[in-house]
Amino acid sequence: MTILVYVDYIPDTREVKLGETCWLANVAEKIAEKLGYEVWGLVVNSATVTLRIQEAKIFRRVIHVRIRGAAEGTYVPPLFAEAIVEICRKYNPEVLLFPATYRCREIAPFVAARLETGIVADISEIYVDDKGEIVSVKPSFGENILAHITIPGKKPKIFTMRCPARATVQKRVESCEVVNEEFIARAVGMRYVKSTRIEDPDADILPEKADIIIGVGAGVRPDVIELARSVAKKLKIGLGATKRVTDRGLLPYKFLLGDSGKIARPRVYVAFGISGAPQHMSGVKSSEVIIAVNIDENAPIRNYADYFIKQDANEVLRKLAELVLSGL
Amino acid sequence: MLKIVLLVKTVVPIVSTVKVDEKTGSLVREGVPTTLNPWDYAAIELALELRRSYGGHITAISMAPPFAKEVLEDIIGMGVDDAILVSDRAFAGSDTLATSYVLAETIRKVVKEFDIVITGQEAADSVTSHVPAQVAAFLNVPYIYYVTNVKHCNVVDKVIKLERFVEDEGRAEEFEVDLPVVISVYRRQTYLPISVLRKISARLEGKVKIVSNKELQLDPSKIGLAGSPTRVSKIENFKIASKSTQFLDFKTPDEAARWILDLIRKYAQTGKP
Ligand SMILES: Cc1cc2nc3c(=O)[nH]c(=O)nc-3n(C[C@H](O)[C@H](O)[C@H](O)COP(=O)(O)OP(=O)(O)OC[C@H]3O[C@@H](n4cnc5c(N)ncnc54)[C@H](O)[C@@H]3O)c2cc1C
Repeated sequence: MTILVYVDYIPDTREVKLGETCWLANVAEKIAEKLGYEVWGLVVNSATVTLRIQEAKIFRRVIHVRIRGAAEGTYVPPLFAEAIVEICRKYNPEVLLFPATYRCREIAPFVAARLETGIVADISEIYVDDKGEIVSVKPSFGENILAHITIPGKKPKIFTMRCPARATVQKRVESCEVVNEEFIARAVGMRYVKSTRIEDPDADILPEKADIIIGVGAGVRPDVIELARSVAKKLKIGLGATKRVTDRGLLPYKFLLGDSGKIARPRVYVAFGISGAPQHMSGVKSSEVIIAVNIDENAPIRNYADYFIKQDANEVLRKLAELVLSGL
Repeated sequence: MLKIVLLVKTVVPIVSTVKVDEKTGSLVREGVPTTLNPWDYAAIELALELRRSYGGHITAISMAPPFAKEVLEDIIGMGVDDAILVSDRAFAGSDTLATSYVLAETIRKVVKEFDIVITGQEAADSVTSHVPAQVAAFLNVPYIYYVTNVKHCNVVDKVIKLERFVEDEGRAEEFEVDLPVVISVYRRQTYLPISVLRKISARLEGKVKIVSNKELQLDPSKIGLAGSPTRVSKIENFKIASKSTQFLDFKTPDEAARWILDLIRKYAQTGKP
């Protein structure tokens, strides 16, 4: 009995999402140990990626399904999904785990529909309950509610899970065996034309992938917000903002955290001049550590904060920028 | 001429207000208003844009309780031609699979002919983005997510050229797809677009058709709770692990900045806060 972990990668460059894969392997291993399952990897249509995964020694076994009729490096969602469906029909895994990347969130639900099984999106946790049932935890309604969701009696149980991009594998295997499979592409009425990298100068400080985020709110002046951006860049950490900041056009919406923006799951969040409205905190409150820098010690953010620093956020950020940018 | 189907959802506007009743263990939705899912506006915009460029007809569909009729009327006010509210107690408890099945069957049986099905990227309350792919699976047509632009649509040969953005990879991709197709639209940077502010048209009567399972005749084992493979075994309010806030009394901003920087650096090195 197996748990299949789907290995996501950028088709054009074959860059493997290794951190996510390791995270899922660790999560799967914990479940597998409890239930006596095995954990395998699954790669669709890339020998390069398969080799990479084999060398990383994450899984004891990796299935590589080549799609005959589709060149490596091209990507067509229904085709990838159909290939996964075929593998599931053949190997009948108990669980199919995907990282909740944009690409996987596109293919996983199709696989579930084809196999008429259940899927839970964007889960934060997975565990085995005392009856031996696999339960997923899905934060919902702006992270306000945790739903514990099962897929009883179905195979495979499909989950997409949010994973930190920098995880490493806990238990390295001695060697990894590759099982080659082939899927013959059928006409899906869809052709992949090309892929282009969009240079986003902020790619390295987007909040959704970051383990550490500094957030700025209305208490931070526009010029200091720019400093915060430089600090994030220099330290290679994420930058976040409240709606009052993005609505004023002080930062683009890609930095907005909360109900109307992004849900980030950092491990450290430092909030500068942020009051702590629930619509904002929904985007960060699962952070392990929250630090608030605010002049008002009664600001609601104190209910979320592990550490509260009663200081002018502008002054602290200025100093922080001085320290960081001067390389101290 | 394009036959466009829009799939929309009503959601709770301020999602962080929804709570669990600790006694009954169910969601308290009473007094919580619903509106159109904010990410659906981008889908509406694209549908209107396509109709402007290529001509055609837009039908909006939503599976929801009867109150959603108003939201569909608002959408018609924004320029959509007509709407179908799929509503029946038999559909209650549907998860994404059952919902997608009902929507796909509504398209097949009620709309019948279609070229493009357009949806928003995800719903702000449940955030699954399952429906577009699953509707495509049931309709057996190609699909693509996160569309940013329709480069060209050949309405004679029924071929469309699309661009999409895979945000977490920072990559734009281009596809050529034979119609019909299901697409979801990338959630744009704007929160509320101009269309919201457009005049609501005066004549809405008869433009929202209500369809129940009497018309659809779907197998009860494939809809509602029975047709849903997922089960919610428990829901709970997110609890902040009863934090005891530590107030740090730094004398100067400099001290505070150094402390923060140390913590960040320590975390970056050890992976532990
Ligand atoms: C439907 C809806 C959706 C929403 N979605 C979101 C969302 O996704 N994300 C989001 O962020 N908000 C959202 N909001 C808005 C949210 O309710 C709050 O208004 C917003 O988060 C407040 O931002 P803020 O903390 O920056 O500003 P404020 O609430 O004005 O707080 C500013 C804080 O800065 C402090 N301060 C002032 N000067 C200083 C100083 N010199 N040094 C240190 N501290 C200082 C003040 O004490 C105060 O606590 C939404 C609201 C609605 C109605």
